[in-house]
Parts: sequence; structure tokens; C-alpha cells
Amino acid sequence: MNEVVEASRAFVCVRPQTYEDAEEAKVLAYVFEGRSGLENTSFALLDPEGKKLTAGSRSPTMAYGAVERFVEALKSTAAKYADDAKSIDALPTLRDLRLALNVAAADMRPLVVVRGKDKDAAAALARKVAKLAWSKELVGTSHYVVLQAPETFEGLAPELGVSVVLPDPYGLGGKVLAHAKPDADAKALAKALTDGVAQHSVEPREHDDHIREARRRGIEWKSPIPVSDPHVPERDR
Amino acid sequence: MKNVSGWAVVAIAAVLASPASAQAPGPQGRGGRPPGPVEVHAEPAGPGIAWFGTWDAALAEAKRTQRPILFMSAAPQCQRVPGVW
Repeated sequence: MNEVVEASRAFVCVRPQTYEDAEEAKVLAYVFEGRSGLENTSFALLDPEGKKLTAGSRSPTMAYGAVERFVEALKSTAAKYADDAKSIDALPTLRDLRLALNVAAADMRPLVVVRGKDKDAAAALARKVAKLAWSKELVGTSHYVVLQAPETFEGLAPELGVSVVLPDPYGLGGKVLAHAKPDADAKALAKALTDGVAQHSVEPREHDDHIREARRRGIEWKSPIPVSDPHVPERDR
Repeated sequence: MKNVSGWAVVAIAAVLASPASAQAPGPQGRGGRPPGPVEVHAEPAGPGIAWFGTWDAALAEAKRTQRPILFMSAAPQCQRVPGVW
């Protein structure tokens, strides 16, 4: 495990998706906002109440320069909270299936789809998955999304229960690698998750080929909030 | 080689660096990416950072656990194309 990942385990780590939610955008702007508005990325270390401990910037690289300095900042910050820190229990989920497939595709990670027959069933299943998601074997291996039965998505309709999905390269759909039924016990659930993660495999993709193929196929991502990053040319927003 | 996973690291710098990655100084990136390290090799190998995907859930868990927050936002698109940071 690299040092950044290892040091991150003492934190609650959050990666909101820029331009995807108006309310969340206010938090992003609090963390870091350029002269033209939200930029594609923003970064800061925050206290447990959400207040900035460091100046906001566009990235850890801009804040710290070298990885070693970033790791040191993570360690020294974590040390101040270590005495009172409790274990993380909540399942780290993404907002919806459309975004979750996109993010998992971009990270080249499996997406675990937790689907219950209703809100309460989905929440109960998510709690079971959460216990495994933070285990030594599975932490940091996958992304998660929780759905209720009526929700559907073109290209992917996992059954009730827990499905480990291999997203397609553009996150438009995916293939189910492993599945556990809603009433699966902890052992069966753990097996489905570990089997799915073990089967997950993607070919490295060239950035330019990825963009070119999307253009050819007419694939386009539309964000609810206009892209305001001054580094992005108008034609690409 | 600059691949899709590599561009994720360009956007997110060291935060997403995988065990197999190596970084080198680079010029202004495409898609308006700012100057910074350019991933020269990347594989989606090994565990990564365990990201919460929404602010509300992360803040609630930080308050409950009294852990500090590592905050890094990013846009899951490049030139309006999904599947890449």
C-alpha cells in the first residue's frame, strides 16, 4: 500500500463530484474557488466539523509539492485527533447509479450495487455491506451505491441483493461479476464481494483513444452545473 | 504511457497514486488541466483511498467518529466524456 493511501485511513475521505450537485457546490466553493468560480478540483484538510485546517487549493500537489510533504501533513493532522477517533462504520456511497458507474469507470474500480426492495431494506443491506467494506481485505477496493428496487438504469439492472459490477469504460452500463441475495449471511456476502473484486480486471486505456471513441459513438456527459474551470476551453465545457 | 487511469492521477495528484505509479513533472495538460505531475504509468492495482462520494454522508461520519476529513473534489469527465477524471 502506498504511503498516501495508508495515511488516508485515519481520515474520513470524501471526493464530491464537481458540477454534479448545487448544494454540494457550496461546500466545494468554501474549500476552494478560483476567480472564475468552481474549478475542476479542490482540496483541503478539514476538521471533524468541516472547517478548514489548511488553506484550500486545487490539489495536494499544489498545496504540498512533494508527496512526502503531503504524507507528513496527513500523519501530523491525524495524530491530533487519534485519541478520540472512533471506527468508521458507514458505507462510503456515491449519489446515484449514473454517477457511481462513471466514477467507478474512471477509477477502474468495481462498483458494488446494493439494492433493496424498499428504502428500509436497502439501508439494512447497506449496513451489512459496510461491515465488510471497512475490513482489511476490502477497504479501498470498490465503490458503492445503494438503490431501491424501482430504480433502474439502462444497460444495467442488477437483482435485489448485492452485485459487484464491472463498469464499461464510459460507465454507461456494466457486467455483474458476483452477486449475493438479499438474505445472504455474512459469509456468503463476504464471498461475493471478494470474488467480485478478485474477478475485476480492466485494460489500461489511452486518454486520447478514450476521448476519440466517445466522440465517434456520440457519448457525452452532461453535468447539472456548468463547468466553470478557467483551464477548460469553452468548446470542451 | 499516459492512460485514462494516469489522467486521474494528474487531476488528483498524489491522492490517487497507485502502488505502480510514478510521477514526473509535466507541462500544461490537455483539457485545461493545470501544470503538475504527469502520470507516466498507472495500473488500478491494490487498495486505494476509501472515498465517500457525498459531502453530507462524509461530514456526518466525521462528526460521529471525530476524525479529520481529507477533502478532494473532482469532475468525473474530461471534455464532456465520462469514464475519465
